[in-house]
Amino acid sequence: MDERLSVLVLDDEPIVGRRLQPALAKIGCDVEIFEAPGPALERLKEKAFHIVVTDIRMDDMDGIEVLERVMERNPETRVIMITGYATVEMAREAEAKGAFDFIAKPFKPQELRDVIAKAADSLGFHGVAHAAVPDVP
Amino acid sequence: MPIIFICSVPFSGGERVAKSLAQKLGYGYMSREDVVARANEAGIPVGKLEVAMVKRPSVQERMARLKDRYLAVATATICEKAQDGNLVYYGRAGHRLLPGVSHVLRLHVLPEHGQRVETVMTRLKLSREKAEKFLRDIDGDILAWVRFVHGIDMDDSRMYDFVANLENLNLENAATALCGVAELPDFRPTPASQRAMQDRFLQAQARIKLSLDDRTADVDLTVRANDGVLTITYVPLQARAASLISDAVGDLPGCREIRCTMASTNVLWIQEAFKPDSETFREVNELARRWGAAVELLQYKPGDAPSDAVAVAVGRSAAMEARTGGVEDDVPEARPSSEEKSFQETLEALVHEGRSGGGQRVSGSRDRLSAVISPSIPYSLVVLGDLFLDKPPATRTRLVRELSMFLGDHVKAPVLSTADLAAKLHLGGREVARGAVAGVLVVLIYCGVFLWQDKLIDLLGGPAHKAAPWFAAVLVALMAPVIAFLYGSVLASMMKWLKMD
Repeated sequence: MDERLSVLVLDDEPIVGRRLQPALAKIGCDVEIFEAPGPALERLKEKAFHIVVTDIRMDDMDGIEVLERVMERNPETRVIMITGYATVEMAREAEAKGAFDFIAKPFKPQELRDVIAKAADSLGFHGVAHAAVPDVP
Repeated sequence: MPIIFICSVPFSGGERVAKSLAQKLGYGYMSREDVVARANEAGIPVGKLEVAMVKRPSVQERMARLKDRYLAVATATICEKAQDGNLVYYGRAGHRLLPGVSHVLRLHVLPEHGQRVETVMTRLKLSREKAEKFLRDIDGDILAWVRFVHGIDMDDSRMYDFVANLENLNLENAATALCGVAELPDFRPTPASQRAMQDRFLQAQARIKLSLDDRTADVDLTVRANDGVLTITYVPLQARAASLISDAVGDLPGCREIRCTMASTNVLWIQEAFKPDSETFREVNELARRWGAAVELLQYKPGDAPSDAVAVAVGRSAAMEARTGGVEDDVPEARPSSEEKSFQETLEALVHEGRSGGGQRVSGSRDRLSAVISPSIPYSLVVLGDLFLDKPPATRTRLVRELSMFLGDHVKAPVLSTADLAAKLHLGGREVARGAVAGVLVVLIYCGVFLWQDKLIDLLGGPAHKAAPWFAAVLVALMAPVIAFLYGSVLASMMKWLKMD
């Protein structure tokens, strides 16, 4: 598959986007960063992203609602939830509503890359899994 | 009045019972959410623990330190709130946080399944099938949490004073009935139970301070409080941290004295490759549990290129740092070899058991090995595990025996191989037979003494003694060690059978 993997990152803390953008670009993803759910959902109407990475606890709308909207619009999109306030209830709710995976903060970018590689693999992007392995001797 | 702990699973109605009970009694109310919020404020990422229950049970042990910190924050938060007055706490197994405190009422609320499914379907907008699966999953996760964090089975009714089953009882009536239970004199505070709670509070506060201080955060410490005296025990390998402990704890209200002591019972386990799921680990851990000992791991590669001893520490639990937004630095980490990983996992398993004495790695000759074993550490036992793995079994046995003799000359502690350790720990068939024979002989001697009492007294001090006084002396000199040996054999077998050392 020649198409590049498109990833939308939504987190109301600007630093999260700033840190994840280079970490995901490194494995060949086209990354778009959003800090508010409204504009992110507008963008999702225009473009079907392969992967959405969203925070759960946000002021305007929570990540579970974002997940529901994404699943309604494009069930093929893999949604990865990230949060600093994870609970088993929250993780299982996200799972029941179709989230691909759930990551508790703090996490290392490699942890997210590993999950993205699995999500990409499930979408037929097998090269990402290989690229996700860090260049360590 | 008591501190009331109500335990239940989510969407069970337990929270409503707890709130209603607090309102009826005029008590303060607190839930697990408050404790988690406090833990997150203190930089403890409780979410990591929660997600570990859902995703990978194998990583749970790696979170031993995180768990200890969470428990300390939970205990301190509850004690702080309960000090202001009466309290109802709703959570998963909060009553386990206050061992020894008798003015605690432990209640378990069992949900009505149909109602619970309906609640989930409405609140989470899930189909019935998904709601049922969701509930099965979270119940399993919460059982796993309680088992990992508190070491108990949440469904074990022996853990509670009362169980309210909402199958045949509505929420309000359950709360009303429990009001009467809360008034019972059995759960009223006594001076002793209040003192016990103050000690639990002090202990938790000290634990938090030590875990938040960079100098002591990764040190294996046991913290105990008794009547306002804090006793903090460190393992010998981390003796350098001793001088920092008092400084890190600082002034705590209610603390009369801080005592820092080195763990007095220590087992040194030397092996070439460690595995936390091995039989040897179970044997050593069992022994350490019985002795209340700390286990220090020493990974020794005999014959390899000599290396300096490398101290190995358990990876620090991730802490939430606001400036990174929860995304840590993207630095590629060297992936540890499977051997290093196993060593680390064994160390973490010991931390989880509260028995870690630290770990180090060394390779080279046996002189180099003995050089890294500190003579100032009072080891109670040295265990030689699987060593010389590249050698044939007969050579391996001989080399282990030689190393055992060598270390026996250099370390002031008994040195045992794992085979010897198993024999010391478990009662074998030969020992049972020997103990039984010794027992029969002891009984026969007793019977003989009491059946021929007159003749014996005559021999020891009567006319027979006067005729041949030397005979009594020879008889006592011969029989006393025989009887002592027989008694000893019987008692040794019995103590081993009772798992007492």
